[in-house]
Amino acid sequence: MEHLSFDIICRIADGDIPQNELELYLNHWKSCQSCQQEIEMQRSIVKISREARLINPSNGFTQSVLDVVIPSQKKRLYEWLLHNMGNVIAMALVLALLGYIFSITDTSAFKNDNPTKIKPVIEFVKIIQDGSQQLGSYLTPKIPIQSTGASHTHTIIFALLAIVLLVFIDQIADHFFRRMKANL
Amino acid sequence: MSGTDREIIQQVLDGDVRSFGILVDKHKAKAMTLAMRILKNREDAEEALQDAFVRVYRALSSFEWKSSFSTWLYRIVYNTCATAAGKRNGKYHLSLDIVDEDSPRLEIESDELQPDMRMESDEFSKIVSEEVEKLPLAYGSTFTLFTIQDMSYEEIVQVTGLPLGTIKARLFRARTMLREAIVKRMDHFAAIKE
Repeated sequence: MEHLSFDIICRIADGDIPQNELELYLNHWKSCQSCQQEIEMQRSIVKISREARLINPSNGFTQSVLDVVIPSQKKRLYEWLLHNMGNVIAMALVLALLGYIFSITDTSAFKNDNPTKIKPVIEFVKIIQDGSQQLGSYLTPKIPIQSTGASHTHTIIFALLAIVLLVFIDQIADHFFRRMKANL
Repeated sequence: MSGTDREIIQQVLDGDVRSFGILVDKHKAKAMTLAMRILKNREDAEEALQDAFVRVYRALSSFEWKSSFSTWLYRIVYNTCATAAGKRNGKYHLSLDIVDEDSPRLEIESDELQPDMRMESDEFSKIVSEEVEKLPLAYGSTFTLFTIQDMSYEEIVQVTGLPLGTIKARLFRARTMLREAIVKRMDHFAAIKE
C-alpha cells in the first residue's frame, strides 16, 4: 500500500490543507493505521513544542534593559535644559537692553497730574531699570561684582519676570512647532 | 499594570519610559527562547536580547504598525542574534542562511512506527524537547518561530526576510529530522523496556 507523503502528513496535521484536496486523501487516511499514527505524531510534536517550557533570561534582565534606555532619556533632558538655558540668557540680554534703554530715558516724562494712575507704570520701569543695572554689574567684567544700590526686591522681580516671559514664549513656540509638525 | 502592546507603547511614547519594562517582561521569555535556539549559549543570547530590546526602544517612535508588534520585535531579535552569531563564528552565520532545499523527500515506510508508541508519555515529550534543541541553527530557529511563537508562514517570512519557499523547505526538513531522530530514540527506548 502506498502511504501518504510526509509533506501531506504534515499539512494534514497542521490543518493546512484545503477541504477539496483533503478529500483525495481521506479514504487512505481513514483506513491506514500507519498514516494515522504519523499524523498523530506530527500533531504531538507541534503540541509538545508549543507547550514547551520557555527560557527566561536572568532575574535582573528587564532592569538592565531599562538601565541602558533611561540614561538616554536623561541625556535628552540635559539637552532640553541646555537649549532652554540659551533661551534664558538670550531673554536676559534682551531685557538688559530694554533696561538700558529705559535707564537712559528720563522717567520724569511719565509724571502727570494724576500720579496714582501712572504709579504702576513708573514702578514697572523702575524694576526694569534696577534689574538690568544689577545684571549689568554681573555681566560687565570691568565692573566688580558689587551691589549697585538697586533694590533687591526689584532685582528679584526682574529675574522672575525674565523667567516667566521665557516660559511663556517657549510654550507658545513649542505649541506652534507641534502644530506645524502635525500638519506636515 | 498590564495592557495591550499598543497601549503600553503609547505610554512609553508619552514619556513613561518605565512602561517599556512592562513590554520587556511581556515578551522576554519567548524572545529569549528564540535567541537561545540561534545562539545556543545563555550568555550570548541574553546579551543579544538586551541589544535587541534597546534597538526596539530606540526605534519605537518609527514603528508604523504595518505588522503586529511581536512580529516586528522578533524580526529585530532574529536579526540581532544572526549578527551576533555571525560575529562569534562565521560558520553559524552561514548556516542561518544556507539551507539544503534539495534534501531527499522522506518516504514513509509501512508500519515503521511502533504500534504502541505512546505519544502522550513523558518520555516522548522529553525526547521531542531534546531533539528540537539539537536541530541545526537554520531549522531550529524556523521551527521555534513556527511552534513557540505560533507564527504563520507569512509571519515567519516577515521576521526572517527569507522567501516563503525557503521557510516551507526549512520547516519540512526540520520535521523530517525530528521524526527520524524521535523514531530512532523511541525504538531504542522500547528495546530497553523489553
